[in-house]
Formats: sequence, C-alpha cells, structure tokens
Amino acid sequence: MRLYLSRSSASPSTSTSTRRVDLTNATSDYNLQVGEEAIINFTSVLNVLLRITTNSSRLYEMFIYSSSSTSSDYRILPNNTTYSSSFSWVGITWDSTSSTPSYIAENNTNAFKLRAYSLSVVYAIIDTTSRIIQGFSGYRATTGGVTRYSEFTSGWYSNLVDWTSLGTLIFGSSSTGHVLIRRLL
Amino acid sequence: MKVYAFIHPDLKTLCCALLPEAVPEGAEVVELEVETPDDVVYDNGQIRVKTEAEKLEEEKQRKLAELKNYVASLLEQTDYVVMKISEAQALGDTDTAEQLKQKYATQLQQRQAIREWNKQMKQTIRNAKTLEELRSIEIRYV
Repeated sequence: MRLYLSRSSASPSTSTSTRRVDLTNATSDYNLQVGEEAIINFTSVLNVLLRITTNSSRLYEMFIYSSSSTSSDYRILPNNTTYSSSFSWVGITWDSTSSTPSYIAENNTNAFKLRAYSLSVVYAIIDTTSRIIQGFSGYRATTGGVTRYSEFTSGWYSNLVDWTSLGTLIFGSSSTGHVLIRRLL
Repeated sequence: MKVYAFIHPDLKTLCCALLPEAVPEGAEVVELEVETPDDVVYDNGQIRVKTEAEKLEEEKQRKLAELKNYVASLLEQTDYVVMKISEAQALGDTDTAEQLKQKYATQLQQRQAIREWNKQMKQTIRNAKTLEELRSIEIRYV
C-alpha cells in the first residue's frame, strides 16, 4: 500500500490537500478517512476487491474507469459477498441512435447493480446509511459515433447484515482500468 | 473464480463470499469454482452450480423482460392515437374514428412495425443456443 499527499491551491489564501492511498495490492481492508481517497489499478480482471472497511454511517463517491470487452452491468458485492434476493435496482439509458430511452428494473438481485456498458466511465455515490448506490455512466463507442448515458439506483433492502467492508466490484468481462474512491462522511 | 457458498445463519438465504474471512462463524461452506456467483443455486436443500441450460434459460427470461420494457416505452409515445380512435369507436362515432385512422396512419404503421420487430426479437432470443449468442443480442429498435 502506498500513500501520497498532494496539495493544490485555489487562491493564495486558501488551499486543500488530498491524501491518496494506493490500495492496488492491499491484502487487508483499509479504514479510509474523511477527505481521503483510494486508488485501485487493475489489469485484465473480472473483479476488484475494494479493500475498504466501512460501517453504517458513511458516504463515498466513486469513479470507475474501465475497458471491458463486452457490455454488461457492473455489480458491487458488499462484504465481498452475494446475498440472495436482498437487492433491487432500476436503470435508464439514453442512446444517441434513438429518441426513446430504455430502462431495466429488477427486484431480487443478489448484489448492488450499476448500469454500464463496455468502455464506460461510471460515477456513483455509495451511501452506507441508506444502503443505496446511485449514479450515472457515460459510454462512447470506438466506432459508429454512438454515445450513451445511463442513470441508476440500487438498494440493499435487507438490514439484517452489517455493512463492514465496502466490498468487491465485479465486471461482466475482463477489464482494465482504475477505481477512485473518496470518503465524504 | 472461487466462491465460498453458504446459507446465512441469520438470513437463511444463499450467500456467496469471495473471501473465506467473509463467511460468518458457524456457517457450513461449500467451495465452488464458478464464472460468477450467480452460477450458484440452492436447490432441494443442496448448494450446487447451475447447469448451462439453467443459465441460458435465466438469461433468456432477463432479455425478454428487457425487451418487454423497451417495447412498452416505444409504444407509449403513440398510445394517445389508439386512445383517441378507441374513444370515438366507443361513442359509436365511426366517421371520426375513420378520420382519425387516416390522420394518424403513419403512427399506426409505426406501431405495427414495432410489434413486428418485437415478434422477431422474441424469436431471436428464444432461438439462442449459447449464452454468448444471447448476450450479443442488442435490444434496440432503429
């Protein structure tokens, strides 16, 4: 695990600093502090362990930059575990080739779901208090000039299990890229 | 990937952990090698991996549901046409109904084309023989 400290100045009188933690090869969960961000780089993998310890009163934002070979929704397994029929989600997508958006909804999934296509950039807010992950993703095809924009919300409606580890991100196919996670609360 | 499948002692439902330390104490674990945790099923009191036929059928149902939602959203845009015509017919105003049919002929043709496309897509999904083939089917009416 590597730690970085960067400083940027908005004006001579104000400054902010961001502490960045590299969790790429972390072997145990790290307790990310408020304002701190983690980066995880990955190459040709199907899933990424986020390796962040959590509890039921935190807020994170997450960026996922990934190149998957096929289009498939991403999933996040809290506590690195699937729980049968404990999640629901809804997603809607606008496509530059059609004036009609398409939507998807499922009521009994076994993990959080994030609407994404291959070569997507995903932004999501992870709210461990309400046990919701919501966000949006953008997609640009390498050929054909197609762009897509999706919004999604996914909820963990069972409260019987504590959320103690942020979990594992699962792609639909082999992916290369990086994940940035910042703790807000 | 390797998964540690178990019935959660509190939830009484099937769970799959990716790490052995994520398994709660006292849970009886079955270690399985799968493509995704979705491939694991609890069937007749036994934890096992889904058969290829089961996976294919599940994905077909998911695709068909996606198609249904999509077609509904396509037709929704011209539902007002059908409602106007139906209303005129219900009131016994056949002249107005005929006039409306002519006025909205393009929209009615579009609806017919969407329904034809829907029928073909359903058949394509049902005919798919492999998961790869199924996943490559894009639901988009152009």
